[in-house]
Amino acid sequence: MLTRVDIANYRGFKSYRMEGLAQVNLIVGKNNSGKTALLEALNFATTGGDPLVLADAANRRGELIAADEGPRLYPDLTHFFHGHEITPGSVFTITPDNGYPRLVIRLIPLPPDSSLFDEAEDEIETRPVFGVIIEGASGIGSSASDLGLSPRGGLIFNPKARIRAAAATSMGTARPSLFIPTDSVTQRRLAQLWRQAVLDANQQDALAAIQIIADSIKQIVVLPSDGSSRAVPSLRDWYVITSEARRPVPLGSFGDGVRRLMTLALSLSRVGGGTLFIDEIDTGLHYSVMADMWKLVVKKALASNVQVFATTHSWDCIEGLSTLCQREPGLVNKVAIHKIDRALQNSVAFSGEALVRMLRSDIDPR
Amino acid sequence: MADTRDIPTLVVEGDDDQWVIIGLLDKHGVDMNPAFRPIKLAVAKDSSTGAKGIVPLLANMAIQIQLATDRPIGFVVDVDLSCADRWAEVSKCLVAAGITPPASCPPDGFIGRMPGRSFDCGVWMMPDCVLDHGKLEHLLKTLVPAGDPLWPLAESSTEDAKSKGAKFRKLDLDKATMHCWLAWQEEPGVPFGRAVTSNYFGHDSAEAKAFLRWLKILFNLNGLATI
Repeated sequence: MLTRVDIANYRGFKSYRMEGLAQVNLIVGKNNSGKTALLEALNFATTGGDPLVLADAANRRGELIAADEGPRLYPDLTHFFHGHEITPGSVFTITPDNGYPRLVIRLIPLPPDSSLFDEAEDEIETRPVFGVIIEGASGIGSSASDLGLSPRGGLIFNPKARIRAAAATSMGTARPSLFIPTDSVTQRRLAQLWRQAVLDANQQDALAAIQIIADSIKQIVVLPSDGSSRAVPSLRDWYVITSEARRPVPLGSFGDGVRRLMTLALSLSRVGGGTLFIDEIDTGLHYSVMADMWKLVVKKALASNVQVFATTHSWDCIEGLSTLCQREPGLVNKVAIHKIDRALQNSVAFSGEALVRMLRSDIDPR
Repeated sequence: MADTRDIPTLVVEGDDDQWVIIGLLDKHGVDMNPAFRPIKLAVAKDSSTGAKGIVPLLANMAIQIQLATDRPIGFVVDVDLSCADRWAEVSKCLVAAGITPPASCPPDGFIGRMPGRSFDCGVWMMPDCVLDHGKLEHLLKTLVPAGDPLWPLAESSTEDAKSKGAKFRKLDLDKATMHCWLAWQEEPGVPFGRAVTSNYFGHDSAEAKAFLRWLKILFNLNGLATI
């Protein structure tokens, strides 16, 4: 479990330390304070420096560069560096503790065997002008010929490195780590999580989660394939059996909160022993279910040994966590709240016990 | 409670402190309408016990200083019995927040800063950061209009009542006298804060101005131009 991380020259942070990290961490701060950037940095750290995490983050943020020709888009690595400027030798570092490797992401001269990239594309935009090395990583990026950077900052993967990484992942060498963005996960991802939950016999977790806000739901059913070529599962295949309707009801008939809670429960099951990142955890949820949502998250995190990092802007969400800590005092040492202010050099961390005192006294930690 | 605007907080012990300070600021030209006020006032409390006052204020002082990352924060405490003893309690909280306090509270109020921070935190000890046996009523006493004919009568009447078995604590003699005096105003028995805005009290004694000067410096209150 991470208890501290130091970040340098990364996004809005010239130099920043987060410490006092607990099993379940709630990160608060103003808009544009860097909460999501920190989640992404921690995600990168807990995967041991997987550049696909950076690519996913850039993709979510729309930080993409179009190829000069053709439809392809490349993750723009420029914005990961403090000041949005890159030159050969540019570096950002992420230094976690407790056995996670220190990661140094460095732009280097193009290595001699860069012809490997030629197999990817022959468009001029996709031809790297720099190499990118991730010192400390064990997967893609650990070798100087794995990653390149286009003239405009687009991150290019050497296809052979991708194949090697995919093999490593399938062999289970990577630590489980999942990032749930503000708008939850794609239908395809949710379906993948469900498949895994079925195989792990964890479907009841998802059912219990959505019963927090819809206790009439008695069972989740997913329609078997109709044999069509549609390979990507869709929400329209998902139904629930309720105590209120004679026929199954489409899951989509219920609000965003149901999908959010299902995603939380299934993700917690999926990343046992690993780390879960949840951006704006309260999305789609009514204030009255916050304490129960946190109970689901904290209990499952403890049971499955998952370290959780979540962000919020919501007073109700913070109050929900405090309420849970008051109801179950044994959890106060498992929970921490972190205020982020980029003008400082470190986050301000408080235990669950302090969180309870704050909320009892109407003190707003945001 | 959460505020829709992100403004600095002055933490006080009780409702009277809150409304008297709002009244004083208002009288000195600071717009304290919630939509425009430059600072908000918060009464220290613990909703689990219903307690307000010095206990929850000191219990949360270090937390609140640490949380005030992007704005100044201030605390107004009563001296109560001993200025030195109360300052010792405050000092422990400041130390817990990483601030090294002076041996005694400066007579013009304490203003200090956590290492690495860009904004100050301040402490005022009511009434004047020096006197023992001090609280809000002692500041209010300085705001009773000079030569007010009823004030000596309120003092002697309250003492007389005490000698005849009135149950208020001797410690609260000034408070009882103040309420006795307020009972004889045009609108009898208004709370302290309204007594300031209704001009029963004045608002510019030397003691009140010293307190407002501390507020002005801590929160950069440009509205207090004349202080």
